[in-house]
Order: sequence, then C-alpha cells, then structure tokens
Amino acid sequence: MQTAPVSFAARAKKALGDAAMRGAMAEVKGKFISARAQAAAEYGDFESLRERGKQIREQSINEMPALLRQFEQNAQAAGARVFWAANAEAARKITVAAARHHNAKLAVKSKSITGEEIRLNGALEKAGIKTVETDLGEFILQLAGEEPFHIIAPAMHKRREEIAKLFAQNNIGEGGEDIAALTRSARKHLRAQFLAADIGITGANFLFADIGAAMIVTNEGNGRLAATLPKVRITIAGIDKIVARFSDSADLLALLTRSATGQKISNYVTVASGARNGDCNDGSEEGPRHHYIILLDNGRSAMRKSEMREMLRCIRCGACMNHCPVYHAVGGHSYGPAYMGPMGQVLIPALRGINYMPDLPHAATMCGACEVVCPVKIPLPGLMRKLREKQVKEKTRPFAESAAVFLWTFVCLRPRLYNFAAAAMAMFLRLAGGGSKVRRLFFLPGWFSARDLICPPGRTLAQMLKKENR
Amino acid sequence: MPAGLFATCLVNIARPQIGLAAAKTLDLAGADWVFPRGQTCCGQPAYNAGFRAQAAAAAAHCARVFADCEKVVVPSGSCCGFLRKHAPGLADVAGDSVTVLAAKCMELSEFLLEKEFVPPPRKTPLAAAFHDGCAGLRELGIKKGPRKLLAQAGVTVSDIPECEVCCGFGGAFAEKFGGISAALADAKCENILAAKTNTVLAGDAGCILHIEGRLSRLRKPVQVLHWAQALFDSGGETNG
Repeated sequence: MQTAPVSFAARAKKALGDAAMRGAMAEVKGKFISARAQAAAEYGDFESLRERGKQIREQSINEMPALLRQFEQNAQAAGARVFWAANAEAARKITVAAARHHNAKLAVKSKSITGEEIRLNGALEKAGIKTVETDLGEFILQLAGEEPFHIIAPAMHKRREEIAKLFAQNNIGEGGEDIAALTRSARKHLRAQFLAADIGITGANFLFADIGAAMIVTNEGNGRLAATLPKVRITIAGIDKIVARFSDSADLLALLTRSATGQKISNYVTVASGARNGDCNDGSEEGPRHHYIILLDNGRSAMRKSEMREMLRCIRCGACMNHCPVYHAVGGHSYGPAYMGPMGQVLIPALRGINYMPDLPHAATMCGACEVVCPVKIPLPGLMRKLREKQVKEKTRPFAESAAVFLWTFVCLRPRLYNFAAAAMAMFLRLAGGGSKVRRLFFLPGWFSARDLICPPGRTLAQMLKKENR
Repeated sequence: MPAGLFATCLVNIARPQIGLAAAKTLDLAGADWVFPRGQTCCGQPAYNAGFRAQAAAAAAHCARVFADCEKVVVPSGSCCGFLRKHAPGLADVAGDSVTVLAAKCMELSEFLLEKEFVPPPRKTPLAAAFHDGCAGLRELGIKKGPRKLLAQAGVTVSDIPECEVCCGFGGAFAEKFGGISAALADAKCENILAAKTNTVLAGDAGCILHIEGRLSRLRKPVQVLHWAQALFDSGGETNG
C-alpha cells in the first residue's frame, strides 16, 4: 500500500490561499451547473436515461471478464494487438517497448486520464521519446508543468493572461492575450507535431466488446488526429471502459456529454478499431499501420470484488466535481493524482489503498449534490462512508476520534447521563458566551477558527418542556 | 398512539427555541404528542464517521424510546434523513426496530401538512430568504412544505441565490476541515448578502448554527432562524 506525501487537508489549505485560482473557480463553477441542468431538462426524461446508463454499466461490470475477451478477439481480428497490463508499471513498459520497436522519437497524445493515472509521460520522456499533449488544456498544463485540475477541463483554473505568458515563454504564437489568437497559435504549433509524430497515444471513453473498437470523445478533434495521423497508434484504457454492445453507445453518449458540458453531443466522436494492414488496396496511405491496445487493470479487478464495485460504473464525465461545493472551494490540485472531486475521493482510495491519502474520503459534507447528478447513479457519499467504515474496521482512525465516538455512544445509551451532560453543556456554553456569543473553545478549534456560536439560553429543550409539564 | 417529538441534540442543547416553536405548532395543529424523556442522539455522527456498530446502537436506542409513538416528528432534515433513509441499512446490527422507526419518522413540515395544519397569520410582517438544507432536500424531498406554511403565516419568502448548495456544515466536517467549511460558508454568506435580507430561514439546526456563526464572525447583522420559529411573532418561544 502506498502512502501519499501530503494529506488532502494540507493541499486544500494551500489551495484556499490561492486567490487567483479561487477567483477563476467562482467565475466558472456556475457555467457547468446551468449547462447540465438545461441539457437534462431539454432531453426530457433524463432520470430514465440515468437508470438506463446504470443498467448498461452494471452489465459491463457483471460480465467484465467475458466482455474483455470478446473485445480482445474482435480487436485482434481487425488488426490490432491487445496487451493486458496488470499495473501501471506494466502499462508503461508495454508502451515504451512498442514505441522503441518502431524507433519512435516523437509521440502526440490526446487527453487520457488513464495516462495520468499511470504517469505515462515521465516514462516516455525517460526513454527518450518526446511526448506532446495535444488537448489545448493539457498542452497548457504541460507547458506550465502542472497536473490536470479537472477531469474534462484540465486547465479550467488558468486565466488567459497566464496562458499568454506561458506561450510567450515557449515561443508559441506572436504574443497578445486574445483568446482566439492564442488558440490559433496552439493549433498551428500542434498541427506540426501531429504531422511529425511517430506514434499517437489516446485513451478511450468506451471499449465496445461486440465490434472490438474504442470510442473517443473530444471537442477539439485532437483525439481523431492522434488516432489517425501517426503510423503507430497506442490506445490505453482501463478495463472498466468495456461496454457490451455498440448499440448502447447512443444512450451512453447522450448521458456523457450532457452531464459533462451540457452538449447534446461532443464536436467529435471517433470510433476506431484495428489498424490498416498490408491488404488494403484502396490506394490510401491514411490510418495507422499498427495499433496497440493496452488494457489496464491497476486495481480494477480487485475493486470489482469489493464494496467499491459500483465505482466501476463511472464514465468520467466530471458532473460530480462540477456540482461539488468542496471541489469549488479547493480546486482539483488538492486531491490525489489524476482523479479529483467526489469521484476521486472514492476512486483513488479504491485503486491505491485506503491509507494512501486517509483523509480523502472524509473531505465531504455529505451534501449529496454529486449523487443526484451522476449519470450512472453511483452513490458517491455512500461509498465514501464505506471507505470510512473500512478505516474504522482496520483501526486506522486517530485515537481521539475513536475515543470521542465511544464516549458519545456510551452517554447516548444512558438517558439520565445524557440529560445531565446535555444540561451541563448548555449551561457551560451559556457561561462561555457571557450572554452574547462564544468566540473560542479549546475543544473545537476547527469550528471557532472561523465561526462564533450564538449564546444558547443555557437550558436544554428537555428542561424547558419539563417545566411546562410535558 | 401519540406522536413523539424528537428534539435532536443540537436543538436540545444549543437552540431549544426551535424545539419550543415545533412544540407550539404541534399544539396548534391539535396533535396528540409527547416528549419521551429517554431520547438522546439518533446516531448520525457515529454513522458518518464510519462507526457503524455505535451508530446502530444509538439508532436502536432511539427506536426503543419511540416504540410507543405512532409517528416521530423531527424538526431537522438531517436527523430525520438519517433515521428514515440510512438507519434501516443498519438493521443487520441494530435489529428490525430501526426499520419500524424509519417508517414512523417525519420531518416537522411533513407532519404538519399531513395534519392539514394552517398556521395563524403573524401580526408583524416578516420578509425572509430560504436556504434548503441538503439532507432535507435531497434525502427527504423537503422543498415546498415549509414555504407553504410560511406563506400561510404571512411571511414573504424568497430564495437566497444558490439556495440548494451546501452551507459547508457537514457535522464533524466543520471541525475536521474548518477552513474548507468556512470557504463554503463564505460562499453562502455572499449569497445571503446578495439577497438583501435581514432574516434567513432553514430547516436544520446544523445549517442554522453554522451560517449564523459565520455571519456573526463576519459581523453581518442577519438573523438565522428555523422556519418553524418564523411562523410566530415571538419566534414561538412564548404563548404571545
């Protein structure tokens, strides 16, 4: 089991002091929420669609081993080579070996959270293969040396001034802070990379077992370019991306893009299988000659047999973080690598172990906003609670917390003691507040760091009602 | 069988005025009700901390205390939400009594509306803005009920902007992650100030103490009340 270098609380504390990030978040947060709400309303019976999405993904989990074998067969029949990676290291090794086999010097990558999960870029660079991110947001972050801030909008916290500065420092474009001009500069720069690249690396939104093909959804078209221009293509996908039937793609897409950005459909949807082999006599030179598909486990098979099983339904839309007030406050860099927001709070401990960042499943108010928008109805707060229960079972919680809960329960099961303690506490708070407000109490430093307690009357409801002869 | 009023810990200790207002609505609604003396905590804090056995023990105690009540009336969305939606999941440890209890639990506005209670009109006008507590809203579907009762009492009710977004309380969350919780409270306070109101109403003592505590620290003169208090000119504390 790995241990994280920094706790969520420490990262979040740093993030709360980042005025620029918080300003950007305050501006952007409402846009995702209203876009999703409008898209769901326009669809009509979005609730039934969510139920349908849940059923499709439940089938994926239930039949996962058989579906993956079916996918492998169909993809190989179409000319792809399928590899199974048990963990991140295996996936990195396969990718590097494939790249070396083709003497690759330059790789273009379309956004892949799975690639982030396995820290692929570092491994490629170490092997001497230059790797260029081609999603605009990821490209900006690569220049800045930062990790994704959001699962579908990785650079949503970056302001145009910052981006202009990054571009200028890297001699991209002709300067200026005009958004359209900056985008054009990036496009021009990246187009040359696409044409020069030896390999294209993509993730996958879904893998369809019945046709042996991977689907990628992008708004910039970079996924399609990365998948089709270089002569060698590598697809890296978690085994949870499997879906039984291509005919289910319409429902899944309808859920995914509406939940993510409020779009009816993304600008580009690319479904591709296999590779162009020597038998193609259509005279065309287009399409990859070699296609390697890496199916990543990295903890997913174990998840399938655990209480975290339902998390495998996730289709990575980002709706949970878009609606999470904690995410809005602390931003995407406070969570673990690759995954953030409520889905990260469940997925990171589920994949990396409960003690990786032990306070992660606790950093939630349990408000439930994520659960009601999840397109595949994952009970995120419930799963966070199960993670907490697991920590309690494994006795990894702080002693003070356990002691407080045991003491509280002891008192709660003894009404006379409870009533005495409640009355004493009511009187204590009254006195501590001197009749107006309590400003500080040694045993609740977190609360009183930022809040007062308006002075209570000093008697409990039980005492007051007794006086009225109830 | 009478209905039982369940005070909940925060109301009992820190804001008994809410309980008095709730009691007054029950009287006016003509309900046959009692206040069982053995009541303590529902078990929600232990449940959310991951201490399942302790939560089950508290919930089972709660079920015993209210065994002779036909309904259990709770002036709190989160305690009621826990007992109704979550406690049955503890039946493997707590026994079937928690499932029986779950079926009896009603949030105050639900009970009053079932009783077809119409509050008497207030003598003094009151304009207030509403904040929907998360558990009441998303676990129990409480939204229109309190607003309907308030309107009948003559309160002019508006919504604060983003009234369905969490205030950041979250029980132990406010203590464990005090800074993050305060950031959420600040967003809530900004919306309250944007609503230009002197009175904020909510249905959970947790939200109330939290929002009011942050407003107080920021020196903003806005009062935060339970909606049941706002039904009465006196806040429900006296018979006036």
